[in-house]
Amino acid sequence: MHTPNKFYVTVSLALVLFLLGLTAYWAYLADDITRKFREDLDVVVELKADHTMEERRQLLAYLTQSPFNQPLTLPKFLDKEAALTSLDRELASDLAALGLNNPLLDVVTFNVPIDYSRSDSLAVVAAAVKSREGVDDVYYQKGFAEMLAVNARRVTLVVGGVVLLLLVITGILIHNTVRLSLSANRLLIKTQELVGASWGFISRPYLWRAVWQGLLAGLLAAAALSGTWYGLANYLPEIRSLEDGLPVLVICGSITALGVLINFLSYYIGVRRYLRLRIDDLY
Amino acid sequence: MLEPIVRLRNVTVHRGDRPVLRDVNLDVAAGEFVYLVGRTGSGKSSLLKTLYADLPLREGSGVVAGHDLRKIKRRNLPALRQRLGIVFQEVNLLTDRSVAENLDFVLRATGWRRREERGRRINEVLHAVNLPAARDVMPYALSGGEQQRIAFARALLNKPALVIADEVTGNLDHETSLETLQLMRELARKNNAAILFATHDRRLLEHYQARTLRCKDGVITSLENPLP
Repeated sequence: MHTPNKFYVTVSLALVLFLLGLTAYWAYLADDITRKFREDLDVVVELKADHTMEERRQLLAYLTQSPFNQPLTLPKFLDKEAALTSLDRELASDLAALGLNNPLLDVVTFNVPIDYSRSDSLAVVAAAVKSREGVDDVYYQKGFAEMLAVNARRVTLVVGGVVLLLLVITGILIHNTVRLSLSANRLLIKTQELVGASWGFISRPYLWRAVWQGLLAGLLAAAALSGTWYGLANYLPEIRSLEDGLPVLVICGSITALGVLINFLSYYIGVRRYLRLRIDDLY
Repeated sequence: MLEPIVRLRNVTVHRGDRPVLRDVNLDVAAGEFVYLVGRTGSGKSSLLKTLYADLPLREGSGVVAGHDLRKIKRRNLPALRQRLGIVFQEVNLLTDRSVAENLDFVLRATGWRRREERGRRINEVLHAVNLPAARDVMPYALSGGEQQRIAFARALLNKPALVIADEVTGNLDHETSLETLQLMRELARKNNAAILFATHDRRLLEHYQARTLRCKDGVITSLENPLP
């Protein structure tokens, strides 16, 4: 029963499913990274050197309840001494020991929610905050989130195109295999037709084979994808910290199911077309 | 009088788009044996194909085993074919499986679900064609005549109302041809199956006389005295 042709179909379907899974995972990863960057987008509010305690208290209260503060987080106040210490730590220097005036200002930082992370929203947020009493200036990484979002969209588009192309190629490949397989078995099929077998009976073995072959291809692809992910996670531990492998599991399950579905549909369409053509040729 | 198994009225038989036989009027009664003679290319095979709806009936009217050939739909083809037993010159046994598996394949394709019943029916038809020992033999291990008898056994599986035999003796020597013909006639009589026996071998007609139709020059004529 196992001719090289069926073997090739299984392998190429597995390959396509693997690439599909890989691109899906890639898209997921890109999306995940973008989201995390956007969630972590800090707005830095520099307070005037002569601001009062009351102004600072009011600013913190205002930010806490404003819609452009990420819910469940609190704006953080960082005084200039602490800022200097942290700067020292980062630069591995000891500016505080020099006894100069601290050039830094007291700051308040807060996280914006994801829907405020676009440049135009951020500009509005910055203007609103800047108009508060005691605020000197407002900073954020202009356009960074935007750039990430645009790139993520671009990646998704390209990936989508690749996936579509792969699907078409797979479909054609399976279709050709079905036709080859059917014409290799045309005596069998002719015999069945002449003795009065229904189309359902004639196509049943092909559809069963389609299911098993799709399942096998899907499992092969899932195994390859899991292996790749595992190897990648060992090599780049950051990937593992981004998520816990559940998405990989979901993608593996999806490509297995998709393998069965694609193969079944392709076989079904192929067999029906072949049987109909035989009759249409006559009628 | 019984309803005939085959009734054709003013039928034009086409091969592709070309008409090969015109004004065909044909009745075959239940259990009747009819020879169909004519040269290769005279339209015999096309006529037979029209009868089992492998070629469409475009002109005239035709009823075979209760199925109207003008109105038959794709989904009704199996029902028609199950009333017929079709045997060819090329034996068309499946070479990748034994004789019993060949027969079992047909039974399963035509809805015989119970394994014991299929086994019993296979034994019956193999006995009927005097080849009970061929059960587990591969087709290529049989002689041409034996293969043709197995093909005939296969045609009998579903107790057909009409056996269509298209040049079944074409590849056989004269003696084997006669044996095959004799066997088919006997079994058809036992099963009350009509046989339409197409052949270009006129010597067969000498031994077993029967109603004979001839395809020639695009028409079918009934030969009162088929032997020259």
